[in-house]
Amino acid sequence: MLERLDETIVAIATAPARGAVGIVRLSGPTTLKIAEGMIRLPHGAALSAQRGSTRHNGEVGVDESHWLPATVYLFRAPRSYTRQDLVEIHSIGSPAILEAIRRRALALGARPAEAGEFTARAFLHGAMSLDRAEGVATLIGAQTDTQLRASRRMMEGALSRRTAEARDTLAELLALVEADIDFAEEPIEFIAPSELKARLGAVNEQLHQLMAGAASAERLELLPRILLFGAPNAGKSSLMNQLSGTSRAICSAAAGTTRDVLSAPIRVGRAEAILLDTAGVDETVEEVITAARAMTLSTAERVDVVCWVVDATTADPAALHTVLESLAVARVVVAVNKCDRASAAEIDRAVGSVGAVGGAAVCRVSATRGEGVEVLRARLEEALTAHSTTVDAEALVLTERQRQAVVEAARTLSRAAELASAATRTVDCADLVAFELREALDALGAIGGEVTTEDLLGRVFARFCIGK
Amino acid sequence: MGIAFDIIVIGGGHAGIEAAWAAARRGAEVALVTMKADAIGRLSCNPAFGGLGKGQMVREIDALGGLMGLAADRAGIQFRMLNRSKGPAVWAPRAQAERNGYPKIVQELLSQSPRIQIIEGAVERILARDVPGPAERPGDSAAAERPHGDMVDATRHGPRKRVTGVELSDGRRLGAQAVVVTTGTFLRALMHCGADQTHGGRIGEAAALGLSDSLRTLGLELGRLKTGTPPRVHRDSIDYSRCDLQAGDDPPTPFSLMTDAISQPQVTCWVTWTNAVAHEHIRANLHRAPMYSGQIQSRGPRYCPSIEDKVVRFAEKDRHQVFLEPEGLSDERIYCNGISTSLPRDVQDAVVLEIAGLEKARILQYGYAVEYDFVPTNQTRLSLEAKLVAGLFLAGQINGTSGYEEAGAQGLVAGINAVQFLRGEEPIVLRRDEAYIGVMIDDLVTRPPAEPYRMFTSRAEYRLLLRADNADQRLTPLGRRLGTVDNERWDRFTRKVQAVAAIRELAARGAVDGVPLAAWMRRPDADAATLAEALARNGTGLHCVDALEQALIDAKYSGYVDRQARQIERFRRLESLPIPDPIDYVTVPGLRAEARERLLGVAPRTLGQAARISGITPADVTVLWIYITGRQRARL
Repeated sequence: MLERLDETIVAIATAPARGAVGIVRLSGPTTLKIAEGMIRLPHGAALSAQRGSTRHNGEVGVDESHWLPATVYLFRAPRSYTRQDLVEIHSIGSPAILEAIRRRALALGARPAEAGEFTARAFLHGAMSLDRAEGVATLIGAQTDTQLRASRRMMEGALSRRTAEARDTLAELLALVEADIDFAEEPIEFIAPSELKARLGAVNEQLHQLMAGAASAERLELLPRILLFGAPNAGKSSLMNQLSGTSRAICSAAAGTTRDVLSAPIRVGRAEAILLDTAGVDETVEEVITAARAMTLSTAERVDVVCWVVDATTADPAALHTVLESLAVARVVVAVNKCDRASAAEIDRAVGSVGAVGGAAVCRVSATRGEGVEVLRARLEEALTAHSTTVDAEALVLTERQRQAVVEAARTLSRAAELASAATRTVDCADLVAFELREALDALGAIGGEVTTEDLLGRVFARFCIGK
Repeated sequence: MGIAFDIIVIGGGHAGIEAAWAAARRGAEVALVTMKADAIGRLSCNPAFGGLGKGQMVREIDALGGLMGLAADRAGIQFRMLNRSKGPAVWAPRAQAERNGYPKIVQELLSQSPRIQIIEGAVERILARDVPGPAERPGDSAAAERPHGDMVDATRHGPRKRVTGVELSDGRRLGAQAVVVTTGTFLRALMHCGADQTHGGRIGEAAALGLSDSLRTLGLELGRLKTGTPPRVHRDSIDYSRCDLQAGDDPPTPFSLMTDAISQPQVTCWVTWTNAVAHEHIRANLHRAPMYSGQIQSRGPRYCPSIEDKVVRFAEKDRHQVFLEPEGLSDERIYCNGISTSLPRDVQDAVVLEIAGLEKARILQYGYAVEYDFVPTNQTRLSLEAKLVAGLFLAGQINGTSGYEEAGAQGLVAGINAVQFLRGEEPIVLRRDEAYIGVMIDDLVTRPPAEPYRMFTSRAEYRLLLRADNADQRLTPLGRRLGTVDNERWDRFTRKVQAVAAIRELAARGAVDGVPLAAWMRRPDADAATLAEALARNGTGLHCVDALEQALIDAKYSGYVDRQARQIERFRRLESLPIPDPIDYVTVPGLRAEARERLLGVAPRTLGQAARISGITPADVTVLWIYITGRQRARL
């Protein structure tokens, strides 16, 4: 898509659903010519005669003989989103009508825009940095107010600003370390190893804070995630089938039959969520499950709520509690399962055994019979709501690419600090510290788009919805 | 036209020497035109070679079959490996050379080449003929309004002229297909010592006056730079007891792979310091320093500043180092490295006499500054050919650099590429990940410096790979292919490579103090002697110190070298996307006007080079990339 900047592109810019208003957007060198072929302005005014950014109440033709009321916004290059001539046709929000308008533009010489192509043009014309462009993508995918605010901040370049500070410091440290090498004949040390270590530590701390306070953009684009967790054969798969209303998971009486992470969208009250079923986390299960467990743990890092399934008929292995504590990222709802088969004493013991998880709601269910499942659903909804309000309103949103870059920089800085602390003079470690600092600078540079490559751009812009 | 050569080299300094030598090695008939044949190879500044970044370049010149390393080894009277206590990537060889001995050695080496003819004379004019230009295109009128209109035109349509030879001041004409200009500090050179001004590029030598106008007539723009030298004092007038001793390495490490051992007797140098009283003298007389009185307007080197500059810019420091360096074994002059100055003679006397150990010093030659014309390198290609004039190559200080090593390296590249030009072959361009020489030329062309450019290790992004110890492995195979590396060097090189490989193989088996050899070699205290012993215990007697050192350094950096290789891979991805020459930036859609100007000015050869131009944003690079790939696709 990126190589055809001199073509005029068209796309429906609103969601493919019924609404009061729908928007078709055109941009490129022949925008005015195409728009004039399909738009009528009052008193026969010509669109191309309009100067600057203007709005017109007129009509749009879906073919030669059918005209519909439309508001036309004209943004002249370079004062437009794409820095090229841009026209927005706001008309009735019916998918069929919008599609007809789009086809008309195609017939007049436009070509369909690809995902993210409008924003790609904005980036290519220098209207925004790469991280701001990614902010736009996240903005489109955002589902809550908090997410919206966070992605807007990202679009406004908050991330480049914050990392710019770190880059400045690193560039200065690099210059001092380099000076210690290049001015070897000078009898002074430009920076002492202790100071070097301290300042590297400070930057590292800054980066870690940035990451800790940041939400993941990928997660924002997805529905909230609920992980089913528990000992093998505790009944997770059966519970999943109950909650999702399907027989997606394979379940059997033999422990450890679920070998893979399965997921299903479920409805919890007014919200939607993704439910993940996992292999059992248990220190005692056999070798084959180890692989599946590794997967569980990595999936667990990206969940909002953990639904801990406890088998009322058998005691849970103690090791499970330890694993659960390490999953403290999320809220926990406990489902004491198999209540239909367990004695009252067994159920009480099971409920008592999960007391270690403070504040968690505990429900008694029978997954096979479906008893207590609706109560569980309500508790899950509460947990999801509580969770979403805990997102820091000031937090940044990082895409996976950006997070990787910050992680890489932080790792590199730790290595540099280690080298510095082992040295009595800066010059003793200067060659390797300089190397690490350059790597860190490169990694942080990739965030603002300073280091850009073909595949990087492809990945970034592939995430856009058509029309932005 | 009188006598005809393949290539004419103007100037017998360090750039001219290497240019003539390399071109002759490659089979070209070369005329080296100089004002004074016995001044060829003269050391106008300090009698020393190498240092940080520079030492690596001497090794690179040597690896490509150049002269500098060989001559410096034969003239060297003190050798030191700088940064020896630090990582080998930043080790840098440096040597004091005999001021009188070095030119003689160079002249003798040049005389061994039957293809180099030395001609005494001053070049007055570069002769060139017009190249039929492309028809004026409609819509091109914008080019005429722009500054650098000719440059823009050359960038877009190729050179307008082609050299045919040179004309000397006595009227003689010499024909050639390529001319390499290496005029050093001699173009319209003006020396300053206080208010005194003398025309000339070096004490007792004339300036080249006509050539600047000739370059302008060819369409080149000229700028002006300055550099300076310190006073030299009589060696018997120094109280050495008040100075710190600076001994050379024992044994000395030579520059050249071809040098088995240093044969000259070795001397020591001394270090002393300026002080607050000396600084006061300087401050009180600043108005008499040409740099501050306004007499000199041009820029001097930031990294090798005059003592008056140091006193002003580092006002908080009350002392600066002064290295006292003998100019030769039997030479009575001591070079006072660190107090380069153009202050008047009486101030120089007063300052020098304040310095510890120099209380009774007798100045034999006063310091002076020299101003000279240079050709800003936005007018030069990576091959060192002038964009406007086909066959005209520029090397050394005329390109705005300072230092013998920088000059020699450019001369070598210009000589090599002049031959490529004769043969109609693609120019040889060393990449930033291949050589310091590549870093330097890319810096010059991509980001033309506004002050004399000198090499530092920090200019090289891939320093862990661009080391002094492996220069031969990086470049000798290329030199062999180009014909600048002779059989003798090639044999020696291949033996070393085989020895390193053998050591690496043996390291997999042996041990030191119970530690497996491969692991021991990565330890900071691992040394060549112990390694040799360990190998000997395994029944192998490898005595090549070079190879032992090399194997140790390779082992020490092995982890980092892999990471650096990945960096280079990323770097090469952009670097491997060539920009077709000439490209019409006006027709590239979406390119900002500022970016277009800058690209037109530099005319980058690869997308990677474009990205390094100051003021070029990543978005500009992407726009350009899209345009180029789109055009390639359209051609398929």
